[in-house]
Amino acid sequence: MIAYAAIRLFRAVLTLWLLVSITFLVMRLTGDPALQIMSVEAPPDAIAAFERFWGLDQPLWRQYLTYIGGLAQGDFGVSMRDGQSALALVVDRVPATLSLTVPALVLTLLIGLPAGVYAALRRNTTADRLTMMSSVIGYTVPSFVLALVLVLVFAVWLQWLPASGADDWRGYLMPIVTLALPGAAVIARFTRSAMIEVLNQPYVRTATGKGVIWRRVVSRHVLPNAAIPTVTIVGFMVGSLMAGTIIVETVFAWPGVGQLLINAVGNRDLAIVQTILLFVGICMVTANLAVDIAYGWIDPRTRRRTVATSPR
Amino acid sequence: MLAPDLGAGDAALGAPQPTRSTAAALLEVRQLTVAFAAGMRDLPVLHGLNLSVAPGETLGMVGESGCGKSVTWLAVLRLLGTTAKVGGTVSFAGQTISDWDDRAMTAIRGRRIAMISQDPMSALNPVHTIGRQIAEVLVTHRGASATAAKAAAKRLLDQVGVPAAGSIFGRYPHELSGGMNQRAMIAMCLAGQPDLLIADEPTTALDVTIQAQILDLLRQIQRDLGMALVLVSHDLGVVAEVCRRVAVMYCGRIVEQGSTDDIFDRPYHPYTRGLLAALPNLDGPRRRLQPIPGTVPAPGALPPGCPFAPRCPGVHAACRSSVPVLRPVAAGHAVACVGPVDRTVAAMPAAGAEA
Amino acid sequence: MTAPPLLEARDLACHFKVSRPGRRRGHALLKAVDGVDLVLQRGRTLGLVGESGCGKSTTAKLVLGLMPRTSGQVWLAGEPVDTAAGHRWRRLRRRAQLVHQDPLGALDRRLTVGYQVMEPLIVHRIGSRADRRAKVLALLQAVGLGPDVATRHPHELSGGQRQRVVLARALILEPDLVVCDEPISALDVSIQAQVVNLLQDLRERLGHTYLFISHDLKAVRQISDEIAVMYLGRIVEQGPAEDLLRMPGHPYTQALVSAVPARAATGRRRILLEGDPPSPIDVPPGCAFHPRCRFAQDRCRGERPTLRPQADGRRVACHFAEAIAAGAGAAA
Repeated sequence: MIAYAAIRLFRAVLTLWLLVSITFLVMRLTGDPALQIMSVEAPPDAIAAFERFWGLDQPLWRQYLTYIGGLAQGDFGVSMRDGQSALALVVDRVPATLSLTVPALVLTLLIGLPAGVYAALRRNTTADRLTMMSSVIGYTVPSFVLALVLVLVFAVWLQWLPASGADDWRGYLMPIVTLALPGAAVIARFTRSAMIEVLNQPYVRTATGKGVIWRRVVSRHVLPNAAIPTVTIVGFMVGSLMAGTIIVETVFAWPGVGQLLINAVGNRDLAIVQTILLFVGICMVTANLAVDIAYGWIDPRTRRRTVATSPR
Repeated sequence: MLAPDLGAGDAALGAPQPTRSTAAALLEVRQLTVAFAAGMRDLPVLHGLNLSVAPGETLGMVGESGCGKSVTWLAVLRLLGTTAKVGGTVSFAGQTISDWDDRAMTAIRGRRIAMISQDPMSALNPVHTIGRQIAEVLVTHRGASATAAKAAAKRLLDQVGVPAAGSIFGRYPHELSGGMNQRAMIAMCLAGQPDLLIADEPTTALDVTIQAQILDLLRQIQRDLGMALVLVSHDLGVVAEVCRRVAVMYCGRIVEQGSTDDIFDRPYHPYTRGLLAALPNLDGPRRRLQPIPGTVPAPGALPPGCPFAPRCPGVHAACRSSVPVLRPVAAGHAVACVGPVDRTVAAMPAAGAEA
Repeated sequence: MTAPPLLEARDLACHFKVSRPGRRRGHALLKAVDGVDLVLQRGRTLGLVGESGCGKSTTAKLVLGLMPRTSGQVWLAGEPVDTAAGHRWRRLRRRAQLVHQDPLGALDRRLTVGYQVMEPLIVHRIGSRADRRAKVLALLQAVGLGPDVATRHPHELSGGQRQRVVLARALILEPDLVVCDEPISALDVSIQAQVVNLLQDLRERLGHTYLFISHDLKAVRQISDEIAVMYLGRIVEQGPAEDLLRMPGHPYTQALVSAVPARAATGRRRILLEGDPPSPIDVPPGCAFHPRCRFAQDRCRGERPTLRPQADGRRVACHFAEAIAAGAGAAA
């Protein structure tokens, strides 16, 4: 078990290192922070001073080593824009983002799972087809289109909800719904096929043949087995939620991590970008770990036990 | 050793057995039809099957894959799902259960009629322990408390010859062998104290020596508990070993039924004879096998008249015009064939030996 | 001068490392085949029987050089059989062919039957196009299929027809040895008889040598001259088919034969074995069968019996084979 945990941890660190390194390269090779932050008209010696100050005049590999060395010691760097600690800047924004993503994830599951289960139990009926049609619409319409439609209907026409900002609870509604709907559509579709797969298994027939009432067959025999593949997709969902927040925060002018990221990328403000990506990476790795633990909990076949030998 | 009661210790489980009527048939199937929805049209797989099972009798159903022998019993218990259209009447212990709704059927399933399926590995739920799956029947049908059900489930496991029943109780199906899972499955079926036990190819997925163990167990519990047993199998040897009466199916119909002796010593239908002649023996002189020429027609493409006509060595014009119905040829022996009654020939003549 | 046997195998073994989650030492040794000797004369048929996991299919692959072996040697008509693909291995592949259990899995569903039967000729660059075509049609006819089948795809055929196609493909290179691994298990009763008869006819006409692997004792009896019984990776008994089935010598063979379902009227006494076969990872010491054997003694727990010749020419791997045979004789 300890060896297993160590391997998992090593893999997580490796993933994060790759993430950081690739971001570093991409950020350094696609734009010059000095020009972005100082403006193009800045005098050449000011730019040179800026570059010297941030070490941008050094060869790439040295910049990289300095950066990685800092990270290894817990130094996330400072923003090139105002010299503030990158970590503090990001941590400052995290609550605003979490206040969208956590409810959105809950809403995703609350809509997606029951819709998938319902469609599977009523498969090949009109109800099933309608649910699946909504699901297709749900994940093909881009978030920004959905967001704009919501704003148009609820903020501009009906004037029920504010178009942006986080002043009171009403401000949360549209961003959360925008974030949740595409995920819910995917979950619904996935849950449905997982359910149908399980419904065709011989053990479901066995349970029905035992005289167990259908509701109980579904809750005790079908759902736990259908949950096994569904858990995987919920793990992936965490990643796409993160991506979704960037768009949603931009559209609704939400003061969260996503907005910070957009600005930092525009400025090639490496320390901030890297800190955010590390934050996202840690979220993803944690989500994957949670999925694995959930597997062991739901599916006894993945629990690590001795190979079955016949009792005698 | 195998008491029908689950033990004196459980007052909750001591519910009285409903009295069985001995005179009438336990199960009566009349004109049972099943068709599966396949695209625009229906694919008929059972064509008006008539069958009865007496209390405490052992009936074997044999036939090749796709003949409808398993579908018959899934249709009786209405476990075929929504794509199947089922017709005809089924009465059990004098009540027409084919009219009952799904909710009412739960009182029959597992309680009055229990079913063992072919592959114990896939027929048991992988995420629940063996014990929990057995206890579920006791809780469902006998109102047992969780602790009483647990104790009774352990006793049932013990009854079906599972060694160390206490430790197997908490194991999952994937941790046990096929034979052990099949024993657990049988324990689960016994938990409801059914009047009719249907074993659908119970040993097909198992090795020969394990098959012998399971058949022995089935015979023993049938004898001790006196329930009716229907054994569905493609293996004539398995059926001959356990059953007193045999029904032979071909293309969704029963083509011959009679006592085991009738079927094996005095087979009448050319298909039954063909099956017997095609089977190698373990003892006696080695002889060349006589295969049945041709292949089983697909369910949607049955020939007109007798479905066996294209493969039958004794076919004549009448066979192709109408489907023969079961008619008695001796006491308790019925055959669906229009050919002349000739009970002297034991095996199919060698005519048209190979395809 | 006597010709060497068509197939000879000495001390074949195949061990796998398997991971064993949850154990401190993560690996265990699975002894799929553990010391098998086989001699098969030209034109004869040897039936290899045993229950799942006894190593009979692995033995087939080892004999054909389709799998690396842990130890042992195999000769085909006196020539050593390699396990690595090379010139000699390719030549051997022409002379020894395998017929699988699952005919649909063994065929490519996108290619026509005719092409799949012809493919071995193309691979081995034999004959002109016209020669190959003629040969395919002739062989399809030999296995009882019409020429129209050649243009069809596997899914258009019945199970029995598919098994005939697989057989035709195996036979097109005119092999000396045909290894059939459960060739009829997936087929219906009436079709099994067709395939068994076909195998017998082809053997008579073409003089094939078969290694026939099956769990079905009745089918094995029908086709075999000799039978070898495997248990946990070793042969426990070998002898002429009729003798072995009529008077099995090894306690395991006795149980196996008695377990074949038959009418109660035939009056064979059933020997029920307790429990399941042990896993090939935990092979019991001494005689592997001793935990389930009704004759087991202390010696069986410590000392592994070898396959010893008996008075009647049969070979039995049991310390007490003579005593058990005498006892059975006395009882009868």
